[in-house]
Formats: sequence, C-alpha cells, structure tokens
Amino acid sequence: MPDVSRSDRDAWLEAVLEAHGQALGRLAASYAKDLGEREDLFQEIVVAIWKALPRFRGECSERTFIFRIAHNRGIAHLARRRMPSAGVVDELDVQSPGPNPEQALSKAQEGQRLLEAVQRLPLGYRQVVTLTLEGFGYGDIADVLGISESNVGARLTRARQMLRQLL
Amino acid sequence: MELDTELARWQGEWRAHEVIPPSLARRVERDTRRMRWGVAGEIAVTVAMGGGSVGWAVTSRRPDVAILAAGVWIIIATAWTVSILLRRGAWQPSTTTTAAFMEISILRCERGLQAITAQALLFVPILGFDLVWLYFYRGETSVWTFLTRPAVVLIAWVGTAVAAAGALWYRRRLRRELENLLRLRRDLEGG
Repeated sequence: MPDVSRSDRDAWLEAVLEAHGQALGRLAASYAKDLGEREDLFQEIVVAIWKALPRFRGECSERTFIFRIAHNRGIAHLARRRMPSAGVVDELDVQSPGPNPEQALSKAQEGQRLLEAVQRLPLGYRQVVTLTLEGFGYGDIADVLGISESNVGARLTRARQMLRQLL
Repeated sequence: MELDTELARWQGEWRAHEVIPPSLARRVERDTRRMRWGVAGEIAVTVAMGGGSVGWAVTSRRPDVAILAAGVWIIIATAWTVSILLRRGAWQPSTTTTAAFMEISILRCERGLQAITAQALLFVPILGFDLVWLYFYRGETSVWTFLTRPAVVLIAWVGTAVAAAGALWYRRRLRRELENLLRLRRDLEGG
C-alpha cells in the first residue's frame, strides 16, 4: 500500500481498532503495569501502526503486521524505562496462596490475576503467552516474533509451567 | 486434553479484560507534526546557515566573508556526512519482526552514542573557527578582551556549557536505554 491517503489511513486505523483494539490494549497491559503508563503505551502502539501503514506490503497477514509493531513498541517502552521490568525466574512467589474455593473469584478478578502473572513472566515467554492467549497459532507467533516454531513451542511450554506456579 | 482446557480457560479470562481506548486523534496529529518539523528543521538550518553565508559572501565581495562561507560549507558537509554514515543501515529493520526490531534498536542506540561523540568532536573546531573568524572580522586587538565580551561569554561559553550538559543528559539516557535493550535481548534469547 505505497500511496495511502490520509483519509484511507484513518479509515484503516479505525477498522484495525475495531477488530484488534481490545487485544492491543491487553498487549499494552502485559508491558506496562501502571494504568497511565499502559494508556500511553497503547497510544504509542496505535500511532506506530498508523505510521507504519504505508510500509505494509501484504507479505504477512494484517494481524501479524499489527502485532509485530505492537510488540516492538512494547520493547521500546521497556527500553526507555528507568527500571526495566524484571524477569520472573528469581521472583517467583511459590508460597503465594492459591484461590480460595469458598471465595470464588469473578472472571474479571481471575483475568486480573492472570494479567499480573503474565506481567511477571520474562519477556520472551510473555510475548509468546500473550499472543497465544489472543488466539495466535505457532506459525503466526513465529512470524510476529521472528523465531522458529519449535522455539515458540518450547517457550510456551516453559511459560505455562511458570504461569501455573504463579497462579 | 487437560492442558487445552487450561489454555481455553486462560484465554477466556484473558479476553475478559475490557480496554477503553483513549482519544488518539490528537496524539497522531502531534506526532506526525513533530516528525515533519524535525526534518524541516534540519533542512532549514542547512539552508539558513549555508545559504546565508554564501549570500553574504556574494553581496559583500569581501575575502574574509568568503572564508566564512567556505568554512560554514565545510562544516555542513562534514556534519551531513557524519550524520549519513551514522544513520546507514539504521533507518528501518530488514523485517518488522521483534528480533529484527531489537537489533535495529540496539544499533540505533549505539549510533546515537557515537553521534554524541562525533558532535562533540565537531563542536570544538566549529567553535574555534567561529571565534577566530570573529576575532579578525571585528579587528580585535586583545584576545582576553574579546573572549570576555558579554556576547562571546553568553554564546560561546554559557552556550557550550548548556550544550554539554544537554549532551551528557542525552548520553546517559541513551546508555540506559542501550543497557535495557541488551538486557531485554538476553531475556528474549534466554526465553
């Protein structure tokens, strides 16, 4: 799409947000814990997607293209921070109590707990997990991140083990 | 099957997160404008300094002004050459994958640090040339008197101190960003 008019780009962005806005918001949340920071990152992602549109040549699916940009913005966001988010490996709180069956959590609360656990995963695992949770297959994840499918599988297996410990 | 059920449950919980998209239009406008101003600014400085000095040399027909114009153009050519060399290969990643983005981000940070050093090295001869030229152009007789004139103190000495402080601050920021990127790359590779 080499010659894209401003109005075409705006319309495309609107369609992208309609289709993937929620997923992009959740992706931003996996990179930024603080709500304001999350909103800033989400805005950065959307602006980056808007700017990148003229570079989209259709070599991959639109969804892959969008999520590549989104993850790249997430990395840039982490790089600019004073304290990069720490990996989970040495921070695992294995003693934390599991869910109390008598006080069943609502789905939203469970979602929040899952998000907090995902945020604590090391970056390489976190990226694979968030894409999996958004319904991406191994091939698509490999395409987004530029790694092999077998690597995706290995990371996902390890990430799930960690998530189980964290939840 | 147990694992697939687990994944399906996590997917359901994950997608239960509702996100309220903030207003984006203003941000898009502002960023686009800033990008355009950045490019326009570089060109404007080249045209104003280079064009202005040549214009002055042509209209005044004075040899000292011609020397100034030549000096300005040598500086402009050097600055653009250094800038192009440092931006070479750092414009866009070969693909948009995360791995490629990580590499280009690291390269850009490293080039940014090199650019600060290059600018500092360029700044010394530029300042030296300007001061020497001004000294002779104004027909000054005392170096000390010239160097302590309020305008020279303000532009050359205070300006240099401010620029140096700014460069140090930016260098520190870039170094931190580079360290973070290298840490994130290790994190990614270890994953």
